[in-house]
Amino acid sequence: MKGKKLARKVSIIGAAYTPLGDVRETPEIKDFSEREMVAMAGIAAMKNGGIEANDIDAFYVACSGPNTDAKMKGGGPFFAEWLGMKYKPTMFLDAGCVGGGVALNSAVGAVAGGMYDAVLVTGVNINMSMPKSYYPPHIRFDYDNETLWDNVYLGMDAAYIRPSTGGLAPYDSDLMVYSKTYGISLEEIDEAFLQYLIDKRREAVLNPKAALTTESFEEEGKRFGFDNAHDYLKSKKYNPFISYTGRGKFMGWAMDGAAAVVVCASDLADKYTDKPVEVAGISVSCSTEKDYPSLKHVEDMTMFEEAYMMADITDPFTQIDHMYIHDCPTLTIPIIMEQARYVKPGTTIDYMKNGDFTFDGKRPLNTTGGRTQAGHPRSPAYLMEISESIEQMRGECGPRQMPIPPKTSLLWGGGSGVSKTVTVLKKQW
Amino acid sequence: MEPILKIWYDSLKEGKILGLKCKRCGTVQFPPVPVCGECSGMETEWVEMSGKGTMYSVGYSPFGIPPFVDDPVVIGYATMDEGMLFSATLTGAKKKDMEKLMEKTPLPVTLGIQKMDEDVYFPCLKLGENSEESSGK
Ligand SMILES: [Zn+2]
Repeated sequence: MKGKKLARKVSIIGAAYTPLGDVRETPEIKDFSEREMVAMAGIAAMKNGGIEANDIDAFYVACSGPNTDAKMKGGGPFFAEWLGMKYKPTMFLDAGCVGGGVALNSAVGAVAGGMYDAVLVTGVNINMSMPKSYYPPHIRFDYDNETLWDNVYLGMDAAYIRPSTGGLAPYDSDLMVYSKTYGISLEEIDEAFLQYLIDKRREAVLNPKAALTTESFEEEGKRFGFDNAHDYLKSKKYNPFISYTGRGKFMGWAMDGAAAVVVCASDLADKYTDKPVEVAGISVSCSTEKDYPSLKHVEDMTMFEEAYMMADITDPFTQIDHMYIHDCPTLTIPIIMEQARYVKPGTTIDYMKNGDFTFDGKRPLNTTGGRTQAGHPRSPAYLMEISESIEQMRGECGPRQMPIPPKTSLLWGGGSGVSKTVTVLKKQW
Repeated sequence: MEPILKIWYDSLKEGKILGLKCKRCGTVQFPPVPVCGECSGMETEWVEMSGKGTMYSVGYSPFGIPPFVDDPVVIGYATMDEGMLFSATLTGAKKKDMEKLMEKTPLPVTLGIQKMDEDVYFPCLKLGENSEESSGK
């Protein structure tokens, strides 16, 4: 892409996501299979965008680890008829937890290139239970141990990476360099991350879609005999270290979910909505875990600069009002955020400690509650945050609404492999 | 096209750590891949790695490296003298030493070879400049 302007301007006209929860328990999605999840999100996104299936040219579905986790392969057509897309082109894509984002940016390219006028992009993963091969997928089972480990490790390259590294070690490495470079102790960084969790929990509690998040960390800690949230989150028992710098609760909270976005040529968007959001910048990249050990992730810096060039952003600090960083694990935040220039180098930890990364704070970030607290549905995650960005722009976030709705949002997502993508959204009214 | 993975892993079993050198620009791809990441050259030849590198960060896996290693491992992150980034188990390092090691970075490291299981041998990193000390299985 190299930061070139799109051949035709592209907007998002509608977006939506399902409640995040457990299909075996959560009332709004109870007894749903992947089919109903995609249908619920897709129908809501079409209604949100004022468009119907007849006017949509193609349909993309992202799903992480579909063979193991959803017991399907080549699954696009399984969903098409459910959304009125029979006979239309579908693409089924696995880019780990950023699948929705990669699908979105591919759809933007297809519309910009003139192949389609409108595309419905969806993502789905049911993470708390699994179907059984050959059985109707509403019949759910507990994850078996083998599938759980596959979930964790199949996204690491078995040719060269997997035989020598484990889990969160690359993120440790990043933070070690960060700590040394800026003279910020690992203890101080840990404290800041705990404050971040507390802030994200507050937002998730205010987010009705975060169906399993019902109480503050203060309240949760009290139930386990702690006086305050920090002591609870520092306890070895309830929040142990699972790497040198990463604790259990720094990881995404696996939940079931789906999300959908309708992408449309900007010159046609007025037909459907008076509140389109322009996709002003996109970039997609990939790397491997051996690329981690410095503060300079070449692929991330390149993506940000390409997307900024497309979106005419020269000073992200003043021009971007709201950001999403895929915060599973939270350890990614300082490096990604500073490479994006959303904050100045070496300042992330101070912002975190001061609680500034909230919808009502100085540098709004992950205002849904993010992956650790709202929930981590894997492949739909990026699309649900696109939906959040649009709702913030439209002033529809209720108690989590940013006091001044953002004009420009920046999103960064990563998924195992490692696939990565960046999107810049701009309000058009 | 050669069976790159088989050649590379078989060589490790025999005690040799190989990379693929680009015939056009001389860049070594390690671990080996058939197209040069630097100049896009598609003609390569096998070369033995110098084994020398500089470590500048560390990471930790309390769960080892399933299914090969059960005990916790420290992972080293290094730039090899040939120019590429490489990460692998930092043999002999303990979790309690990690912050001290980090203070001392950049630190010289050498490649060794570690037996992961009967069929899989993999390069590891060892502290120190002398490749003699750090070779062997
Ligand atoms: Zn070359």
